[in-house]
Amino acid sequence: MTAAAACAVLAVLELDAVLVAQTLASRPLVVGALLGALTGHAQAGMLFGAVFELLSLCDLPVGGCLTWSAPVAAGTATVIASGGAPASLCFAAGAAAGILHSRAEAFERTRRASSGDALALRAEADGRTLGRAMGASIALHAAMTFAVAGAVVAVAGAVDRRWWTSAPDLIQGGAALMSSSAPWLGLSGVTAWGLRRS
Amino acid sequence: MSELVMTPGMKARIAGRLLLLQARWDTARMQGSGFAYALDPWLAACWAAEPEALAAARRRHLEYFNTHPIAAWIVAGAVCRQEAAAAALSGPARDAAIARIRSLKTGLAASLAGLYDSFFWGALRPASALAGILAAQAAYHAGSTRAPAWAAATALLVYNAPAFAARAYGLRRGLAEGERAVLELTRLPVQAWILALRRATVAGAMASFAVGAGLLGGGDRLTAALTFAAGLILTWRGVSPLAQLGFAGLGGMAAAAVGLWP
Repeated sequence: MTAAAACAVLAVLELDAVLVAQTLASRPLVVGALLGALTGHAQAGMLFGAVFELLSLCDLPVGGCLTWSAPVAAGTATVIASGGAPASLCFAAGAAAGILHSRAEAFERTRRASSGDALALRAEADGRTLGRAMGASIALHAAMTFAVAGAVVAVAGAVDRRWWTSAPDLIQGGAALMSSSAPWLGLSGVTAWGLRRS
Repeated sequence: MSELVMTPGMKARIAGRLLLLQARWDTARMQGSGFAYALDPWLAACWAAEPEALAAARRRHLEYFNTHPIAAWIVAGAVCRQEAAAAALSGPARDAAIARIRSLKTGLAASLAGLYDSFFWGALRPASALAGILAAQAAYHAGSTRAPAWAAATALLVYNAPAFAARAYGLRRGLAEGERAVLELTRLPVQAWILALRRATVAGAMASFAVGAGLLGGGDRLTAALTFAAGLILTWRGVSPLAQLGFAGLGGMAAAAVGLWP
């Protein structure tokens, strides 16, 4: 599967996080496992999925909470890994994609709010207007996810090919410790959070 | 006028649309547009003979609405029941019934949100994730090449079996009994379930750490234990996971600068 097709699958899966159904098919564990299997890097997908799942588990998606998108982070990291990039670069780029996606989603939500009154007026007269608005909103959101993931995959691929191997030790060391400590930080975070609340 | 009765086809239509409750989530109305979209076929049936009343019904459901996506199903059931009752009335009795719909909707949404958030987001979601991760670790130790598939399937099943049952139960009971269905919910020992799930999550996280760290060599195992301990302290002090990752990155850079890492 090509990176573009994998990003398209990620864009569809991510819809489940907020817009469609909330079956948690968008959770990082599932996204990582599926994209890993599709791109032929099942172990990498599993690892990134589990790590981003643990790191995001204590962020409750209540109200308008938008810390970062862990599904996009896990999916993007897995797609980058399928291109042969080192794990530390995949992890850092995945985390960046997750943060970038949440900023784009915040903008999208505000934009929807600004057109809400006009939509409500039209919907009072014709119920089908709402259906069309829902469809447009879903399509736009999927396109936004695809664009964010695709852009980060492209940039990370270029960084890997042209710069990463010659990057200063400072950068490589920081990225390496960040990615290698992530599973343990994730597990300890869930443990501390659970102990405090039980 | 006699009260309209909801057919199985109509229930399925509303259920399908409730899955799109947050498809146009925005910062002003939150789930308002999605809730109005979900109810629209029923509103059109109830108020078919009165176009102005139908427009007013759509208007009142396009307003701000926010609750847990699964709690919305029981609220939708209760509201549909009340809309049918209001449409069958006339004069001041109808006005009173319509005024009651608005207070019923906001009251139920607010009171159920905390309960459903605590159970589904705050207890079942973490527990199902840990179940998935432990299933993958068990499959890996058993030599299975399908550990990722086990992780995904376990996590999805543990979360969705109760979640879809609660959705179906909520819509059905809300339609049949209105707000009395919510009283039934308050009699369930939900707090005890939440506590049990959170304890299971903590036990699962510790077991997962033990299994994961057990695969490492001496030095790496010590590093994992120290990182785990540091994460416990930082989380306890309210430092977010992203900030902890930032500290780890800075620590790695500092260690690389003095030649200690990688």
